[in-house]
Amino acid sequence: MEQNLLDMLRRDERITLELRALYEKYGYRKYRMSKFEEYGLYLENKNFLKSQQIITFHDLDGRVLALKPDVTLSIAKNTHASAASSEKFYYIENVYRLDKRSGGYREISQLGLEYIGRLDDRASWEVICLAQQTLAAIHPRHHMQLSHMGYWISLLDGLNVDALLRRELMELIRGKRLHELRERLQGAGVAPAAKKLILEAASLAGGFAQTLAAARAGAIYQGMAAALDELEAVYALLEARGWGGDLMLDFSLVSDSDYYGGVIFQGFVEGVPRALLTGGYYGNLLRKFGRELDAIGFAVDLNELGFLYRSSQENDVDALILYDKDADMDALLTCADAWIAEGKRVRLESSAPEGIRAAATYHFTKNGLKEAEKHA
Amino acid sequence: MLNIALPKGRLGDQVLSLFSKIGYECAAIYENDRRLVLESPESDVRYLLVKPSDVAIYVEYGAADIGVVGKDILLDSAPDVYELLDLGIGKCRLAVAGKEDYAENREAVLRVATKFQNVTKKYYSSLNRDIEIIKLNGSIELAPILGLSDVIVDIVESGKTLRENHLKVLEEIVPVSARLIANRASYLFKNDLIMDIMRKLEEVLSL
Repeated sequence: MEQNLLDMLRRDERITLELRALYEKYGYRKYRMSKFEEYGLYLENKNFLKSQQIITFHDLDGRVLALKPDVTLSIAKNTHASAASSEKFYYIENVYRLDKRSGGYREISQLGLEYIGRLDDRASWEVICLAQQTLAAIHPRHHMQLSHMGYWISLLDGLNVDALLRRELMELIRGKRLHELRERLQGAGVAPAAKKLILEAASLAGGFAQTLAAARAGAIYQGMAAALDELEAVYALLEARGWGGDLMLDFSLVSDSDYYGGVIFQGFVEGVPRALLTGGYYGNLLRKFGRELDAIGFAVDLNELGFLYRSSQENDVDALILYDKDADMDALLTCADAWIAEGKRVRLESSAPEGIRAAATYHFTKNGLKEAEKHA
Repeated sequence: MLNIALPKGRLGDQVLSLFSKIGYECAAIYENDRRLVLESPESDVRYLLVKPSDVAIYVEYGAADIGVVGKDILLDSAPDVYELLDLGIGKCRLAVAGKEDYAENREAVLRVATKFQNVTKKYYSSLNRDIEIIKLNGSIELAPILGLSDVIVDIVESGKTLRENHLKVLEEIVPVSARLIANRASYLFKNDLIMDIMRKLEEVLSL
């Protein structure tokens, strides 16, 4: 019976359930929250958000509320975690964001996971490994890109690159626009040696071990080496448990350094043209809320699964029974009940609904059941 | 199979011959018909010939793995793709042009006709200049002649079209050339193929 129920679910519904079970097995608890939050929270942390346009409204007491554009901010603000006691959550929530592509607001169904408290390499490994398993549950062909913001922050701090130029450089690095990065560094009067270091770091991408070795060669500051040590330790744990193969190290993956200061990652599956999963270490955000804690997590945009499952070949029902007005209703229902008990999906109609996809269509006349046509 | 989106027209032809130079030939291009998809099973690529302004969309949505597109279009639509190489071909510039005798009236809101709305907005906001954008899709040069706009923002190659219409370049906004772009997911899943193309292009263009 349980298997029958599972079989009946759409693939995306099934994956959501499978992932919930996976997260629960690792000790994560489901976190539920209200759809609204005080607008001030988002206003103060605008740069953390993917889109800064937010749907707001006034509550009856005059407070300005917002429809949640993001879940992590609420969790980070409301967590009870401490250095001695970590919290592990997962959530499935809708968020509301401006979609640049369609030029309007969209409701996005998001599934995510957060680990807040005092983190060590094992904790980072756990979250990255769960991200890997999440991708694997969605599609057998998947890839994960890993990077470390600490590498960049240490390099750019060491070279005294100011905040404004840094933002511009990050944008060029993110787009792998090395030709423009070269010109911009030249235009900004960055010394040739520093320029070379930044360009080399921006082009570090490929298989993990090989790219890590290349990154070591350019790690001239202690913070850079520390970032690589952390990546190496997490990778060793992943590889030992068979999750190292699909990992790529790519330092063109960058995020806002005000919030992300450590490992960051993005997951892709075949058939979805953009990152399906994004995540990373965001301890800086918790420090903004006055909490000396670490945090790492990721989110999956479930709407993007539409790329994978939109051309469903599945039938709507297993059997469509078209009955005549003078058919014996008791015999008809007995027949339908028997099939339903077998686990078939049965639809009874007096005339065929438009566009219905049935594995087989039957006629139920006053003489009983006869098969009308069978589809592949 | 790698899907490559190319802009229909002269730039597309140039890129096709560039790709055949690096071993990604496509015999079908010599058939000179109106097909929009040219398959080359021998080099395991498929060329999609699309409107120049649509190349980036095909790549961003993964219908094409890589593409070649003018920087003007990338600047205006800011697609979320990797921009891997400046191919140095299809060189031109995005510029402000007006009538030969144009003199700016700083007291009035400037009316600008263009198809590059975002670049235009960004450029004038950097100058702190109030403008009204008149979005046109072609024959932009007509706008100032008919008094529809004060100036235009458009691509200028040799300047011949402008001269023939008694217009001149007033300010240059940014130089433009063709760029090799890649879809972010394809870059991972078809990395070997894309890197091979990139390396060979760099070689043949001596970048």
